[in-house]
Amino acid sequence: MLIKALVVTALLGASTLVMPADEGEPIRSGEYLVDSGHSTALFRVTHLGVSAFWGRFNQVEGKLIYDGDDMSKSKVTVTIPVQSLDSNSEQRDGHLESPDFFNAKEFPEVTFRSKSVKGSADGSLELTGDFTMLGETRELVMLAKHVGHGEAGRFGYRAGWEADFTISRADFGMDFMADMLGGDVRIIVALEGALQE
Amino acid sequence: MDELTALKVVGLPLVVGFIGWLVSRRCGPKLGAALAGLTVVVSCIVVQGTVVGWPGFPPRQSLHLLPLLVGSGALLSAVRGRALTLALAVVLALAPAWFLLDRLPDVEFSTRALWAVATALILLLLWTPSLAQSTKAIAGPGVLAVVAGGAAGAAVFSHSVKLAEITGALAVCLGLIAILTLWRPHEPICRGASLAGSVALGALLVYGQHFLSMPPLELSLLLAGWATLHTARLRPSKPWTTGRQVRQGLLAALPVIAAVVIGFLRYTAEQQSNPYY
Repeated sequence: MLIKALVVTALLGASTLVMPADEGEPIRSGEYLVDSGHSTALFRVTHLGVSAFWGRFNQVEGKLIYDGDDMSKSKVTVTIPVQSLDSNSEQRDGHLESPDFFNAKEFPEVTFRSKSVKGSADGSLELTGDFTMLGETRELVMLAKHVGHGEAGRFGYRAGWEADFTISRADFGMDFMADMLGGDVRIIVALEGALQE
Repeated sequence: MDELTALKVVGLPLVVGFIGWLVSRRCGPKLGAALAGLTVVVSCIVVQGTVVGWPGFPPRQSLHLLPLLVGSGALLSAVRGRALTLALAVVLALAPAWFLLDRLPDVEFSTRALWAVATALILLLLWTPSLAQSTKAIAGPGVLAVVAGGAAGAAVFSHSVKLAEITGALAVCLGLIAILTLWRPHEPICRGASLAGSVALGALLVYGQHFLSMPPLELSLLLAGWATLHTARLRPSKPWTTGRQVRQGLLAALPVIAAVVIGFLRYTAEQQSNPYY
């Protein structure tokens, strides 16, 4: 009984060291570096018109400059190396990286660079910016929902956002296998940023 | 590849090739050679346009450079005069690596120049039998068709169906000319087709080398198959009978088949974990 109480107390104490608890506090302004290990980029495309296939990119890099006092000074830059693509099949990864799809050797990155950032009371960001893939750039508007923020013990101050948007791959010159794969690709990018002191 | 696409990749070069061959036969030797060369490159470009997609101008990606690089082969089959032919051949041998490597990020000027020179030397060596003005041109389309066919297979195993389709179209057109040559030999047509086909194949292989993960061993075997055309210089006085043409093609096929088998084994090994197809 005593040991059980000690263990529970220790776990509760440890959790308070890392659980951000700044819900009432505004998001701190500053430069956030994207933590690739805790950020995710997923893509979804329909296959044969009957199923949804999900794949991921294992690396997400970038920077977010957040200015709570003047959102016009905020900026988001995200870079995803195409060769971090992971579709759970080495063969399919090779095909997706080939000139038939991403042409990774010629266009090694997919990027998003914001041109304007609008904030909201819940910390979510409306981003307007240039999405570049296969050398083609299109302006996109997306909502990046705020997930949370706060001091995270030894991890420092962190904040996270998640954006869910859809692109038409043909707009970027990726129209191969249009009879088997859907034209619209849903993309989810979830970022965890570490505030740089 | 669906049935309609397969029909386009095979059917279009057959139609273009046959029409081009018929028209070329009715012309004088120089015009006939030029038209044969034009036929070969048009068949490639038409397949690229209808199957892969028509490239814009200016080219926005490396694949869009291929019609220009492939199409330049028609110039080599049309130009007259030995000196001009050789000068143009040098330029066309430098072009693929020079322009394609420009599309890759982080490639320094010196690296690009080295690749262009090294690639040009290899291509010129391979093109020598086709550039030489002699009856060995008869052997050209058959050998090039075999190598192009193997290259199409290698492209599939290196994960690019698009490149396979374009290279396959080249193989079909050259193969048709080779078969028609068995029936009605016509040296100028073979020479024109060989010259244009050599430039086109060179560009496609350079693309495969730098933009796909085409393994060096498979690429080397394809080039070895191409190099067997040099043996056509042996016994220059011996007539190019049907048997001799077929043997020349089979000689090229040996290393090409090895390349295809190695590529296939590699491809199927990848498939064992989470099959894609």
